[in-house]
Amino acid sequence: MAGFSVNQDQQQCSDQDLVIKTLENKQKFAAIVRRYEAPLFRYIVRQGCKDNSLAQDLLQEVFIKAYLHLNDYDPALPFSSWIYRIAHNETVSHFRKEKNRPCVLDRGEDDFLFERIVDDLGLKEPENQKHPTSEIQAAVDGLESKYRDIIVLKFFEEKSYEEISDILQMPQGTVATLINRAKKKIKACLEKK
Amino acid sequence: MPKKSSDLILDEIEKRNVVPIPRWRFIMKRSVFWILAAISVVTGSISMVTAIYVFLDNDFIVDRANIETLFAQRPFIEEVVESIPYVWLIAMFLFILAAYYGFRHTKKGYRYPMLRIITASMLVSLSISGVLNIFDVGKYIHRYLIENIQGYDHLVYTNEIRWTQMEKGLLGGKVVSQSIPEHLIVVKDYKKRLWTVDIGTAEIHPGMRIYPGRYLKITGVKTGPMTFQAKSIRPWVRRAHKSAPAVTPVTPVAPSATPAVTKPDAQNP
Repeated sequence: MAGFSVNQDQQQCSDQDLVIKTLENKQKFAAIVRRYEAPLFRYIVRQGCKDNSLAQDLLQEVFIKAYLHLNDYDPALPFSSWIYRIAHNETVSHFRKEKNRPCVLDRGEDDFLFERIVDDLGLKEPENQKHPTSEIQAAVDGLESKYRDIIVLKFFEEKSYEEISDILQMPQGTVATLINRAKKKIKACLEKK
Repeated sequence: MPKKSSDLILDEIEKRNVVPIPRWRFIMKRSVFWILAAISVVTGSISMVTAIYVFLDNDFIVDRANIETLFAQRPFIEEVVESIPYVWLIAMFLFILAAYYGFRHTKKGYRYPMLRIITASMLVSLSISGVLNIFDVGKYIHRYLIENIQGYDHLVYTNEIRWTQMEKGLLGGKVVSQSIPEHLIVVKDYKKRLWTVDIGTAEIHPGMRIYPGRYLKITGVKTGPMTFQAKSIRPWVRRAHKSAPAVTPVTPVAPSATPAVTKPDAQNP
C-alpha cells in the first residue's frame, strides 16, 4: 500500500470527521475503507454476488466511486447510508449489465437472520413445526428484486426506515409499504408449505 | 474475504490517480435541477393562466344570455367539452412532471412522495397563475399566439374561432381604424383579414366606447366579400383595457350608402 495509513485516532473519529480529513489528506481514506470494507462486502454478497472475487471487484469500485464523489456527501445524512447507496447502485448496475441476478441470500452464518423474518411475521411456531431455513430462504428468493433489496436492508443489514429511505432514495412511506408487501408475500409463501 | 483487501483498494485508488470531483460541480448539478423545477413551475403556471383565460373567455360563461342562437345550433355539453383548452392542460401537466423530475433529483427530493411534490407544484403554479391573471398574462399570450402562430387555432377551440363565422353573422376582432362621420370601423379578425363594418344602425352595448385597439364582438350580416353590417356590438371582454386611448363614443345613426375606410390606424397595427 502506498501513501495510506490508519492510526488509532482515525479509528475513533466520526464518519463526518473522516470525510473532512480525507478531503484535506487522501491518506485518511484508509480509515473509511477499514471501517466499511467488511459490512459493505457482506452487503454486496447478500445482494446476490456469491463470487468472492467479483464481490471484491465491486467493493473496490464502490470505494473508488465514494472517494471520487466525496465532495457530494452531505454531512446531514449518515455516511453509512451514503456509502451503502453507492454499494447498492454499483451492485444493481452490475447485475443489470449481466442481465442476471442470482439468489440473494446464503444460508449458514445468516441462518439466525432468516429466523428474525419469521419472528417479525408472527409465524413463531412450536419447535417441531418450525419453518426450515431453506423454506424461508426460498420465500425470500422468490420475491421481486425491489422487495428482496428492502428485506435485506431491513432484516439482514438491520437498517432503520430512515436509513433505507436514504439508501434506496425513496420516501419513508414507500419503504414501509414495500416492507409490508414483502412480508405479506413471504407469509403467504410460507403458509402454503 | 481475501486478506489485505483494503490495501488492494487503496493501492488501486493510488494507481488510477483518483481525485475527488470538485464540490462546485455537484453544486452546479443540483442547481440545474432546482432551476429546472423552478422554471417548470413558472411555465406550468403560465400554461395554467392561459388555459383559465381561454376557458373563461367562452361565451357560455361570459355572455351566456346573448349567445342563445349559437347554442341552439350546438348542444351545450359539446360546446363546453370542445372549449376546454386541452393543449394548455397537456402543457401544464408536462411542466408539472418536469418540475417533479427536477425536484426529485435535488439533494433530498427523494424523501418526498410523488403525490405531495406534484400537489405542491400545482398549488405553487396555481398561486403564481393567480398573480399572472391579475395582469391578464393569459389573454396576452393567447392573443399573441392566435394572431401570430400558424396552427395554434387548430389546437384550441376558442371564442376567436366562434366569432369568425361571418356567414352566420358573427364577427370578432380588433378595431384597427374608425371613421366617425361615416359610422364605419375596420375590424381585423384573428386571421388578420380586414373587415369594413357599418355600425350606423348597430345597437351598441350600454356605456361601451369604440376605439382603435379595442376588441369587439359584432353580430350582423355579411354584406360583401369583406364588408359587414353590424346589428349589435359588445366588448370582447368585460374588463376595460387600462391603456386604451380615450376617444369620442360612437352612437348609432342611419347607415351610409357606400362603405369606405378613410383612416387606417397607425397607432395600433
